[in-house]
Amino acid sequence: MYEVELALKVNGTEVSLRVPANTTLLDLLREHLGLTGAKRGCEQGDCGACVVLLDGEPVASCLVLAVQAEGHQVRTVEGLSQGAEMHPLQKAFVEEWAVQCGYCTSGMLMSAVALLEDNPNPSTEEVKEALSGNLCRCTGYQSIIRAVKKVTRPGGTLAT
Amino acid sequence: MGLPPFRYHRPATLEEALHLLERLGDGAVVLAGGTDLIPQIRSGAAHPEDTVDISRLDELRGLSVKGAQLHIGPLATHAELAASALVREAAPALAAACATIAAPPIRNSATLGGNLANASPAADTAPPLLALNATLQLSDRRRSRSLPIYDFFVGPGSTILEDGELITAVSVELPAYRSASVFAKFGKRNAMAIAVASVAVYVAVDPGSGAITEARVALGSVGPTPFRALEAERVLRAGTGGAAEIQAAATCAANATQPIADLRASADYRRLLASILVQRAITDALDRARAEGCQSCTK
Repeated sequence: MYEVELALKVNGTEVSLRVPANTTLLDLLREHLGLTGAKRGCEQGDCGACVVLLDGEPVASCLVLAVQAEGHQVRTVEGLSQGAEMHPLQKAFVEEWAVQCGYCTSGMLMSAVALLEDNPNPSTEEVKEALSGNLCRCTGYQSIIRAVKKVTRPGGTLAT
Repeated sequence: MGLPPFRYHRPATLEEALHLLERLGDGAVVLAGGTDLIPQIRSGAAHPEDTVDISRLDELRGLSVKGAQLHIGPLATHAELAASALVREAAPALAAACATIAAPPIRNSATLGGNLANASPAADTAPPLLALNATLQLSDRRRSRSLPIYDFFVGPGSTILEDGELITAVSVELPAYRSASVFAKFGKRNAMAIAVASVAVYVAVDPGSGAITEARVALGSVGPTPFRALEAERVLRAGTGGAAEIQAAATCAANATQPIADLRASADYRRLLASILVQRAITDALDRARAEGCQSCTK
């Protein structure tokens, strides 16, 4: 009972492994699966650097046990691009210089992707609300909001 | 930093969970959303030998109206409650509070039952449930009891929950036809900030005269537990909701606070803030009750 058997989908791929029960979803991704896109920040759910999507909804992966994701679908920043082709939101982040040190970026991207998949044409207020759990300490919020707004589609859907 | 080791249990039914909690005793903790528990384990504030994961128990899920009550499964996340048309209509202050808790990644995990059981004096769902006269069902392996949320909180981080006991349902009375409930809080920023003061108000008015027929005022973050300001409620119930009465009620509510001074605010500031938030919330609730009321409510 100190260890648990897990089967879950990560970026569309079935994963099965045995991990200690105290493994967080963030630990699972970074230490067991080699997916280091989600970052270890405050480890209290305050900073958003570790945000990934669990069944399509953003969660702080430092506060979720890996075993709680068992049987569910996890998406990380590594799953956004199609081969060498970046996701439109990633392109917009590059074009708008929405990255400085980059530590918050994967969490920002995942929170924004979840927003845009639910609501393809959000207002600036809705973008700010969706990103309110993601801290950027390089003071880059304006360019991040501009990048998200750039891929909104009036009446349409997020091109992926 | 890794978490210290613990055993993990995932009971398949509520009955199994209650058996397990009884057998494991006080070395076990209950895991639902994990947003309070995991940081507590990480910091050493909680050091469980066993973790009992109740997050997949269907018996603790679901929203339904039965008779004059809205029943909420305690595993409802803050995101679910904020988005639910039923909750927004039947318990507007609760939906409003849930929409302001932390930020989306936390609201998608954190549960109503967890917010109550964790018993922070600043728990944002507590003032709305106090103002809405919520009833909690608590169950352990031997018995199930219902009690008003008024009796639930004992002190900071402390409730009347006994070892092995779970919150198994949360119920609120459906609002009267001409009524409204509102939530207001103040923190250092809108997202992620623990409230410096929070307030929820429920008022019902006479459809003819507009006079106040029921008033409940609850506050958070300004005392060792969330609480009802009973004296403020009496002032409101006796009157017609004029500006002087609202001010008097706000003063009564502020007098009932027992705020601490900490890094977020001084005690005096919290008391002043409580008075202002109560005044605004009562005014807002009365305006809404008189203007629109609860359109679908017939009680």
